[in-house]
Amino acid sequence: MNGDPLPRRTFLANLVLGVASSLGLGALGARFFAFLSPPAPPEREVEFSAGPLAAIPDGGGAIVHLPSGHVALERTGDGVRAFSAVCTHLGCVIQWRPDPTAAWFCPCHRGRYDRAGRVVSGPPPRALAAIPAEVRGGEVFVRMKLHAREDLA
Amino acid sequence: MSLSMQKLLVAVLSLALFAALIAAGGVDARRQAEARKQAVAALDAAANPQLARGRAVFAKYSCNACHGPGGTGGIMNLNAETGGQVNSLLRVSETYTSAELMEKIRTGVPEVEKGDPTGPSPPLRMPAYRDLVAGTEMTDLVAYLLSLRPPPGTAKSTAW
Amino acid sequence: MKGRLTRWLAERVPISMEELRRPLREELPVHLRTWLAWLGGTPLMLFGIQAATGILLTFYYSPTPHLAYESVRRISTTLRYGWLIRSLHQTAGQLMIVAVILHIIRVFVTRAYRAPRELTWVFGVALFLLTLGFGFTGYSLVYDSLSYWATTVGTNLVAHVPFVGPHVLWVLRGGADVNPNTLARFYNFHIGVLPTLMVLAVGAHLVFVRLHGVARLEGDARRETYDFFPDHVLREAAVALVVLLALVVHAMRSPPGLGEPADPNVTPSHIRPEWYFFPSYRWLKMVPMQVGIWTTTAFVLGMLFWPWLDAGLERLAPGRRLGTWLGSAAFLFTLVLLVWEAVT
Repeated sequence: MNGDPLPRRTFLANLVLGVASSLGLGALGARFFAFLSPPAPPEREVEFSAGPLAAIPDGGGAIVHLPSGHVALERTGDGVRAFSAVCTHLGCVIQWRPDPTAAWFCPCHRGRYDRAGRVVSGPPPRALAAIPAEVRGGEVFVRMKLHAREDLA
Repeated sequence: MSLSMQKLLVAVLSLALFAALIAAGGVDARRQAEARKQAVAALDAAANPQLARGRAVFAKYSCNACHGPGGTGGIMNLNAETGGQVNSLLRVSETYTSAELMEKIRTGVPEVEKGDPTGPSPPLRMPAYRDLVAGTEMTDLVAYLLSLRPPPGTAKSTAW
Repeated sequence: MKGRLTRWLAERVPISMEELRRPLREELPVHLRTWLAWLGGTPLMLFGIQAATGILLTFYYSPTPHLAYESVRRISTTLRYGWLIRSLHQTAGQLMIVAVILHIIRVFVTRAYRAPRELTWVFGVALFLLTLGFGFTGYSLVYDSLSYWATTVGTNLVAHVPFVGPHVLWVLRGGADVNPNTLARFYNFHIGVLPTLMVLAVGAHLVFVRLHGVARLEGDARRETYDFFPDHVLREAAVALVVLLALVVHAMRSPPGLGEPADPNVTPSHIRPEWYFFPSYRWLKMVPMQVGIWTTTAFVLGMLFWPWLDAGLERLAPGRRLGTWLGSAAFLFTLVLLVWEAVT
């Protein structure tokens, strides 16, 4: 290789080659990357039965695991409030552990929430997400988003 | 073949590959749409398999013949107390428990209430399904019926 | 600034640019420019495609009997470009076997296996057997009806090998019948053991090719050379792009399908291995099992040690080209068996 500048024809040929091959191989790479990213599954808002009201002690709480996710239920008399049982900090499932100041407890980093799902102490940044719930005929119903499962079974 | 020609050949082939992969994008989009449709159908069934089964029972015994597709009503039943039509089923969950609904399906309605007592008897009656629908078919059907909801924003129908 | 960077690099990576550029400036003899010579690189290109698409497929494939079929179905229908990746993998696999066979024919016809290139040939035959192994193990992973039973029948043959057969089969299958161990094992062969052996064998094969140079056709005394870079590289790139283009277009025109899920209780009526096993399949249907096993072994050994066999035949009848006759006859016989099985 000498130090002379490339003739214009060679430069153009190289440029065309460079652009074309980048496009071709780039498209191939893009397809490969798209393959690695599975499409988001469709969702539906669905009403699920969260079980009989009687299963939750009056003034108490319970965790229910539905196909659409983990639900925290809190009962006062004949009324029920539902929240997502997923801790807003890093995603662990909370527990019903009442004490003088709080109602829900997250074992991972000791986050605490009150009966209304608001953060009392610990690292969680937000209150528990509320879930629409109603009681019909002694049974608790919640409305949640269900998405098609990714698992194969 | 000169060097420039070779470079041109590789460039042309690369562009052809690029074009083919763009076309592949179109093919993929179509297949994705197909797969998505199936996934949605599966999701509907998975959301509550019992409801899917119940819907199948509803169709099996031709309930829609009198109660309308999906229980929406609209089938004429002259002088019936329920607005001259066979009643829709969209609000059964408001007035029936599952036990009451099961009993209704088992016994049927041998004589439909007249709207005008002096008028003719309504021609359509509900048969007794006691001997036809039982066991899991019955529970699935009832679960399906109790899941029916009127479209949002509709007025309350006459209680019956 | 640039001077400082260059010095920093030169201190830590003590190879001069001159040394790095030398392989690029290598001069290749012009007889490499013929299309016959292309047949050598093509299997390697296709192997590259197999490795890339294969790695992508492992992100979604599940090697358990319960989930294998469903994972393949999901790849083929739900995932973005899954159909393309799977089709590339399947088709390139088949093409690779064809390319290897064509390359073997080229080397055979040009008698390039003769001294001092015998070891190149031996590693080449090993590569051929490894490629067939890839085909067999890969086919077993789909776990649809044909795949499951083809694997069952194929592995059962091993049991008939004298003395060691049943023990080898036990280890091959990881138990008595085709069971969850079997699929896991075949998967491991396909993505672990065989690729490792393949890379080693390709390495050895290429080392020997480089050491001896690509053999010339008899009578070709040209002394001209051409550049490796950019001349030869561009040629290789053109061939690779043609292959890739053909594969992509084919994928769009006939996306990969899937048979019925495997049912261990029901053997389908038309069970067959893949086309590259048709010759042995046909042969084993024609002769008693033991005869079949021994003749197949002899055939493979004959292929492996062909350079010495050929040299021996040459000494026996100088100039009569007995080796060429024998080899051609063996190839034609295999071809006849293949076509016969294909049409019946």
